[in-house]
Amino acid sequence: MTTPTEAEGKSLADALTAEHSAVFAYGVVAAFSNPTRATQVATAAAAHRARRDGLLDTLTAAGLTAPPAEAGYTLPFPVTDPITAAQLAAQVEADTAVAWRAVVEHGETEDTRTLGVTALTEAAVREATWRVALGTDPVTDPFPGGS
Amino acid sequence: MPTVSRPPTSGPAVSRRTALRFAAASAFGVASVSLLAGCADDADSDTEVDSLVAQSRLARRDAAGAAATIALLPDRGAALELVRAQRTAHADALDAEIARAAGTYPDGTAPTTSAPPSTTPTAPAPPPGLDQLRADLAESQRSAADSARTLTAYRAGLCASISAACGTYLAVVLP
Repeated sequence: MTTPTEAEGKSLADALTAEHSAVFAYGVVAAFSNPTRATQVATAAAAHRARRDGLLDTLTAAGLTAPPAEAGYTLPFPVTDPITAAQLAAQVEADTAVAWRAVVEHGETEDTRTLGVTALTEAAVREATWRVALGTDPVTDPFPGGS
Repeated sequence: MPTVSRPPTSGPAVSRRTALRFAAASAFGVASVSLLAGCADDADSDTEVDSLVAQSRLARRDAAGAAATIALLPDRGAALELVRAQRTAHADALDAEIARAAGTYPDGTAPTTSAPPSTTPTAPAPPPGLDQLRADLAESQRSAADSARTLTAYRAGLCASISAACGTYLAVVLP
């Protein structure tokens, strides 16, 4: 990937914050989710860690501000059982999708735009998978990452 | 072990060939930078609107294809209806942006196209079937992603979301 411009740095830093938060949240999801979903949780958590590490490397290499992980993150609602765990996972994917759509909107280079579209699509697919598990109707958001 | 004897190198440290290669590479680099910089200059350019119109057409095509395929595969009706409804929502959002780009006259009326689209199709196309619909959605996903790389701010974000949505239809809704 080419070095991101300074204007792109802000949206990439926001995406990194969202990925830090997602990695934290998937720890909670892993603790409470249905054991039959262990593989799905592990795959999703690994994908978020990979995005986080990639963003850390990109921002650091470009000499831009890379926000560190907080000690803890406030969850949007209490997670107590497999259903609330799946709801949290779906929410986390929706939140990261918002951050990645912003990366596309503020992207000035083709590489950054491509990264944003790819990460947005992956988050949207994972969100849809969780919504299928939850029986949410419709299972897909028509505008992932959008209002 | 046989040794290869090389002729002693002589002449300038940077050969003529290397210098020419370097010049060609930097000329290409400059050209691609100016190409990207050119994107942001004319936000309401015709190419931007053309791109939105193309995305809107793809969305209407996929919506019609999904609706027609329900007749072939009633057991997949719920999934196909979801694709039809959401691809229609995509087309509506794109059309709204196209209308916004066209603007309004001072008296508040919007410009109309010279030839209003015909509401009755001349000959109904046969239902595309699931395989063709999936191929169409994959094409739409790629095309919207390409638009997301070239359009400006909000339009790029809209196309990125549309591309991601097409990805979810292929991965989750119509696997």
